[in-house]
Amino acid sequence: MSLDPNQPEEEDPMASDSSVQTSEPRPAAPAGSAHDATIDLTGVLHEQARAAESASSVVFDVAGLSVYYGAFQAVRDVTLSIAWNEITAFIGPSGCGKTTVLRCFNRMNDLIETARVEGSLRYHGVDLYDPKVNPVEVRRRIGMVFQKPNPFPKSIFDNVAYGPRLSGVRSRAELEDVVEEALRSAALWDEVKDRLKRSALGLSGGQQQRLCIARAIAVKPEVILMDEPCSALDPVATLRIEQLMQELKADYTIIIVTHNMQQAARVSDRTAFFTVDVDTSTGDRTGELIEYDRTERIFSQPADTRTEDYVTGRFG
Amino acid sequence: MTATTTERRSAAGRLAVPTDVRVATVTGRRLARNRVATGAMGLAFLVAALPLLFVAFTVVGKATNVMGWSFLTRDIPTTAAATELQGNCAAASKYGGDTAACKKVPAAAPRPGIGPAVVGTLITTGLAALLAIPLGILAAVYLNEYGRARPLARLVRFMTDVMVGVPSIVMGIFVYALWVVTMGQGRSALAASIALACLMLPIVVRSSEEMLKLVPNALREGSAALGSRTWKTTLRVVLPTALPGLVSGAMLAVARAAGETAPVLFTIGAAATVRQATTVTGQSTTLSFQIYNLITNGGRLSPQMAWGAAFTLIVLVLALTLIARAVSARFMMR
Repeated sequence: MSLDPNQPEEEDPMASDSSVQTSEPRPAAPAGSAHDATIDLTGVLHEQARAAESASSVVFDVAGLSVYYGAFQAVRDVTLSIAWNEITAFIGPSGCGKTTVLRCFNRMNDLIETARVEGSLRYHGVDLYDPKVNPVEVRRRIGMVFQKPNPFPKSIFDNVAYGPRLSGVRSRAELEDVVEEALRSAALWDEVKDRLKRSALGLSGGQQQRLCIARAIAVKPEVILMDEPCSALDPVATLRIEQLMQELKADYTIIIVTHNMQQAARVSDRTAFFTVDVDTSTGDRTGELIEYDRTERIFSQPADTRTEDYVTGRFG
Repeated sequence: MTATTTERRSAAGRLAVPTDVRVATVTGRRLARNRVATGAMGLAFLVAALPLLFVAFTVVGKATNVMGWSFLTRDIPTTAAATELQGNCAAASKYGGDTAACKKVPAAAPRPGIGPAVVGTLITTGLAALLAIPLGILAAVYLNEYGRARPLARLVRFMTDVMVGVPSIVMGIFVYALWVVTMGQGRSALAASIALACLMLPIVVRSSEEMLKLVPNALREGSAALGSRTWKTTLRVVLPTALPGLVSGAMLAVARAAGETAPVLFTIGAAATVRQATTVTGQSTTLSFQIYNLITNGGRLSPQMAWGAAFTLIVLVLALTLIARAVSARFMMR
């Protein structure tokens, strides 16, 4: 298990949050109670972000989160906190709801008509599922990289410039700067600088995925959600993405869903282990969070035997 | 396979593969069946292609007599008699025409043309495309990007399916009754365009919806994850990605409209000169309508002219399709 050797052994500011809490979710504050006048999320979020930065290092505060697809409960009662400028990994077997939970963080589940979310998901104290919150604004701030690279059928430049253009950046010079910066951050600039006008679909799978990361960071989000970003890539491309994640950690908070436990162990600071609970009478498979802790604890001395079984390969 | 003469070999025997790869393991009945199937497919292709080739050869062969720049630009003779009498002194004397004037005209010279029909076809079809394509694509965007399985979307989808099946002459009567008579707008190129647009609309809607369905959902999610609203995603990602398909769907509808006669029959009126046909609100004529006219008026030159008009129509539609393909290829990013 290779963990970041620079990780200080200081007192964990999130220690209280990182124990198993699935059984007793904290009472969620009534939705919007503190922010009744916050129709403009932009100002509030900035204010909140600044306040949060000084006060605590918590970006997301999830309490009692359940997700339903129609009548079917996909995920039950998830409670965890995501820390500032850290990489948090969600691991667990297939169908345990990792991706479903991840997609709650930027309200991507809204795009699925039958999906419904219960519980509270606070981003710097603002409930993301408050009716006053604009999901489009949420997605602007919380970027996402998908399992399969999904570059638009446009040029490399236009792919990266897509987000900034949405935000109203029009000047060519400004766009060029933003694109170059994003491509450099995604460690792709040197490979594509001479063919920015060419189609993004001509890139290799690994390059496409880094392009998607560049596209996500071009809008300067605070958080990047990654849904198994390496599952379609070979080991060399995977290594590049993992290195990239370590570099991005300085500026972004990253949540990554992965099937690959070695990857979680290599890159993440904290790990959440999910598993699937099968209802023996109905056959419904509902995901639940078993354990959430610092990655080295999850992989060396997990509190729950199910976690231990999974990380040691005894499970499934 | 080594010579195994027994009819039913053991599984092991059948699976045994000779080490020499040059020895074919597919032999006997399987090989024969393969040849029969390949032959049948080739034959089916020939049978399917034969009528097309026959039509092409006939039209080209018959049209060459009259084809030429003057044929495409000259006015239409107002009566069948005029077609008869042109350069035909025997007929002129028989019908009491001006034989002196007739003698001055060389026998093979001035042949009438179909200029107004060419102009009229371009105008009515263009106008119909202008009415139907934007509306059809917008409807498809609603169906696929917004409505999906909502009751209104289901209703629109059902109605569109019904509209596809409505015979074209019914569209003609509908526009004639509503626009020409009830609303008192009279026959015009516009009336014909409306009838043609009614015919094109369901084709455009259904083909466009199919094309939008082909756009991977991953692209929509990718765009949404960058903070894009649905309409911006549609405008910047979905429509550009589907563009080649949308263009070919629209072209299919345009080709269909350009060749339709029935909706035009009651709605367009008549025009004999290019000047008359260069209009939107006035009466006009189209190639398909002119083919029908020429064949039924029984003039001596009429059948030849009809073939010429048919050839012109085919080339026009082909040219439109090729232009559209070229345009969409320019915008396509592979």
